[in-house]
This record gives sequence, structure tokens and C-alpha cells, in this order.
Amino acid sequence: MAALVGAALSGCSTSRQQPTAASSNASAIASPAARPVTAAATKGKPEPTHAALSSEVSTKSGSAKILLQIHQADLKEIAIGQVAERKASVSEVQAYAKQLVDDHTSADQQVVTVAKKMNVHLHDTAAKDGRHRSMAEQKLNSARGPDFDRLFLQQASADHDRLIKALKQEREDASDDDIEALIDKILPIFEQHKELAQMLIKKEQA
Amino acid sequence: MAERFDTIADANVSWGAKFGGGIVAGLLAAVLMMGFMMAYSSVIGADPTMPLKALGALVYGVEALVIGTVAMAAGAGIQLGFSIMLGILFGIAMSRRTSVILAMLLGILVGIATWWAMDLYVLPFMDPTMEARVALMPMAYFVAHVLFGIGLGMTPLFIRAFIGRTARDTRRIENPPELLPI
Repeated sequence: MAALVGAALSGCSTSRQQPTAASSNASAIASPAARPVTAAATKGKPEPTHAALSSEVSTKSGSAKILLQIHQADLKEIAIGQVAERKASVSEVQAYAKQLVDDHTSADQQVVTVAKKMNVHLHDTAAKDGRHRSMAEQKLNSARGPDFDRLFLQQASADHDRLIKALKQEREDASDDDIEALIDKILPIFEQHKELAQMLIKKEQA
Repeated sequence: MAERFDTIADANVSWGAKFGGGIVAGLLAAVLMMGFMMAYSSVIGADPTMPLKALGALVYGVEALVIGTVAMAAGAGIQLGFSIMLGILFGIAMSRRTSVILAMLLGILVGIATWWAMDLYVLPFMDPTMEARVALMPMAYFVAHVLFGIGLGMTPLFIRAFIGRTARDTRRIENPPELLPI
């Protein structure tokens, strides 16, 4: 029974050790400390091939890229959710906005935890986050009433659509157990957000 | 002789007491479980009413997350209804002589079986909204079911309370005078 309970609690976290292709942007994002760690780990072992080393680096960069993408999306949704909590004209949209803020705050805590574990620095991109926030907020700040609701829901739906596609792609290519587990946890929540946004848009139109 | 004890014990437990004890134990189990989940949600910074909404999603689907009170009422109704039903079944299965420790162990087993059935069969097919939420707090969800089982395990105590006999009377039935060494 204990083994059954333990197995069920740990959940499934199978992994395929495949290297991912990393963009040059992503390798810039990965922590500088991460690369020395990778190199140091090879000391005292048979000399790794160039292909094996670059595979490790690209795996790390791919993980950093997706962590950063989720982190940025979380910050953006929290920001527009907080605006919508104040400005939404319908109680259901307000409830949706609160849900966005709660869930993305929780998701971001998990992203930060995984990033710390993988030695990936997310704070390097604070300036970018700020730019995203202000653009989204500026659009929403100029709208009022039902227009605001519609704009907010469309924005949330589009954002989640992009994020879900990216996460699904990353889940297929994932080479890290932590990243896989993280995506498995947060992807269904983001799919709910998208579904809710689309449902509320339909309600608004009706 | 064991048969005689059972007969004596069961003869003193009316159906009303079994039902009453089971209902109260079921209510206690529901409050323990839902109270724990709501407190845990609050501690991790989520909406404390999320467990009720997630359960309400059994009826309303993902919309339960935004429709508020109605979904929460549905969630509370499902939790209480299921708990009371299990409590009554538990009450029927218990005799007045059943020790509380044995009842607790049985209750915890029932709680774990419920958790297992929910995780494997109910949530994936009937309530994916709740499944996604539970995935964020799997250990708390398991602990909540253990607490649920502990609540059910209190059934014999409530049955005894309904019968209105004291613990001394119970001991007398378990150890009839003719069996005591002279």
C-alpha cells in the first residue's frame, strides 16, 4: 500500500533525454554560472565529445528559454489581471481576472523554484517584462466598461493560446524532468484560462 | 460466545442510532476534509474557496471557477452528500462494540480508497477542472482524504452517544460478569 501511495503521489515524470535546439537568444539567457558547472562536471571523466558538450549546453539553454517565456507570461497576466480586477464591469470577468492573478502567481512561484534549481536567472529580463506590461496595460487603460471586458478577454485568450502552443511544443522536446513536471502541472491550468476567456467572450457577444 | 456478544451489542444499537451516528461522522469527515483543503489553499496564496469551486465543476464544468456562490454551493452539497452517504454506510457496518481505533483504521482505508478512485477514475473523466487543481497540491489532497477517513472513524463514538449509554455500560457488555474470573 505504501509503495502504491508513494508511486501515485510522485506522479508520472518520464523523460526522454533528447537535446533541444536552442536559439542564440536562449543561450544568452542561461545563467553564466551554469556553463562552468557543466564544464566542471566533466573533470576527471573521459573527455566528452564536442557534440555531447554542445548538447548539454543547448539543453540548458532550451530550459532557460521556456522558463523565461513562462515567467514573462506570468508577469504579464498578473499585471493585466490586476488591472481587470479593478476595471471589469461584469462580476464574472472580475472573478476571471482574480483567477488569472492567483493562478499565474502560483505558477510563477513554481517557475522561480525550478529556475533556481537549474541555476537560471530570470531577473535579467526585468526590463523586458516591464515593457510588455506597459504595452498591455496601456491598451487596457484606455478602454472602459464592456469594451474593456472584451479587450481584456481577447488579450487573455490570445496570450494563453500562444503560451499553450509554446508549452506543448516544449513538452514534446523537453529534455529535463523538472521542466516536464512543471509543464504537466501548469499547462492544464492555462488551458482552463483560455477556455474560460473564450467562454466569457461568447457570453459577452450574446 | 462471540456470536452472543454480537447479538447483545447489536440488540442495543437501533437503526436510528446507526444512521444518526453515521450522519454526524459523515458531516465531521466532510468538515475536516474541506476545512483542511480550504486552509491549505489559503496558506499557499490561492483562493480559499477554490476546493469548493473545483468540486462544483463536477456540475458546472470550468465555468464553476467564475460563477461564484452557485458553484461553491454545488461543491459543498456534493461533499456533504457523499460524506453523509459514506458515513451512513459506515454506521451500518459498525457495531457498538467496534473499537474506535479499528474504526479509525477502517475509516483511513476508506479515505485512501476514495482518494485512489477519485484520482484514477472520477477526476480524469468527470472533473478535469478539479484534476488540474489537485495536481498543484497532490500531497494536501491525499492528507485531506486521510482526515476524511479519521472523521468517518469516529462513527462508533457517535453511535454510542446516540444510544445514550455511558462507556461503563459498553465495557459491561464487552466483559459480561459471568465471564470474569471469580
